Amino acid sequence: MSYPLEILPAPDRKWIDCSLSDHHLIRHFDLEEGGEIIDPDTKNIKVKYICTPKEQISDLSLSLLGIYKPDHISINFTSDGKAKYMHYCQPDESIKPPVINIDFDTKTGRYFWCVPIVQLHNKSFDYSRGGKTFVAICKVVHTPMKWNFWHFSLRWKVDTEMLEDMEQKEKDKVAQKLGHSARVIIAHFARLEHPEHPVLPKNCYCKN
Amino acid sequence: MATIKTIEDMDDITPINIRRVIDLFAHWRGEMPTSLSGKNPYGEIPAKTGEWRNTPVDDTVRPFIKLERSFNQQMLRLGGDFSGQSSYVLHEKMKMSAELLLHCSPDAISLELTDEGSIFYTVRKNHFSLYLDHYLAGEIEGKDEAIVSVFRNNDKILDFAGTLDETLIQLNKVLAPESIVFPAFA
Repeated sequence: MSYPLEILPAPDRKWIDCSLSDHHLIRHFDLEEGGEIIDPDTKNIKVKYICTPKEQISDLSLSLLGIYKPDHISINFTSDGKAKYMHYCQPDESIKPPVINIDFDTKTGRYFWCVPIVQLHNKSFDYSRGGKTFVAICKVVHTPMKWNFWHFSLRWKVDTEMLEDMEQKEKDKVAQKLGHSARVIIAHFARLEHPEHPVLPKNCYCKN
Repeated sequence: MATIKTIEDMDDITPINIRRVIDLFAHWRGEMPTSLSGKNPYGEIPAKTGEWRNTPVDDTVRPFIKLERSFNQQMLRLGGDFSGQSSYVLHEKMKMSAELLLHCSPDAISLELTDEGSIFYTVRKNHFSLYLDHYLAGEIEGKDEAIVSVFRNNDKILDFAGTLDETLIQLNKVLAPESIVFPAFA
């Protein structure tokens, strides 16, 4: 299997500049041996398949469903491949394609969930209490990586500041509330099915 | 050498005593004693106090047992090492929040232990979805912390962070008009 070039950044690509309100994000997970994905009582995807471990909650990695398809979740980077390709980059960066068995291999038996962007982007959680305000707003951000132009991140704006700009001490203070927010918003809206979605026009992600 | 008891010796197992035990259970279940006269023929029945109050009422026994089993299985998988507290304390905390949530007679309820040291409850009741994190380690003024979010279908109608008690009070405020009540905090 050769690496799917359509998911790599390329010199003719640009930051996606169209509305994505009708689109979905996809994220893969590995099922625990003997585990159940769906809770049999509430019919929700189990939280451990949504965003664990803890570090991923405040900056959750996802991909824009469309040109990036569920087939692509089987791409599994080796340690060397991760070191080379798991870095943010410009959308128009020229990338040498990863090589099978050196940079990546494939892993079968992975699962995925999808979530509509409109249910995440700019959604707020307000935990103000006794005169203390705390408002967290979810942001869906296009964050191309060397291995995936269609990489997106779920980030959080806390009051007026983006989480990634906060000092570690402040981050730790808000981590609990953001963990809850991320769990809730995805638990409520994520689905295991491959949803219908529109095709993103080429002028939204290609120069000229 | 111990003597063998005959049926005549077993004073406790007379029909009258069996009947009394049945009536006592009926009373504890909230049913009327079976006396035809309408009076309790066996004197005053003890009130529902002490240990009995700490046990979930009948409607909630089955879902509570399911939650407890799920909690115990997850604790076992984590090797009992969860939020740095003894498994007894954690179990008691789980009992407290689970019983409070079960008071609203949910259509469905589940719990999951999270990497952040919380029990994450998902509760479905009518067209409401309730998500509550009960934090097992952190405390506010000596009380357990909780965060809750409530959706009516896909519209979020409540976010609240505070003590577990305050959180349940907020839930009552928002859900009581919808006939969803947590009696302990009404």
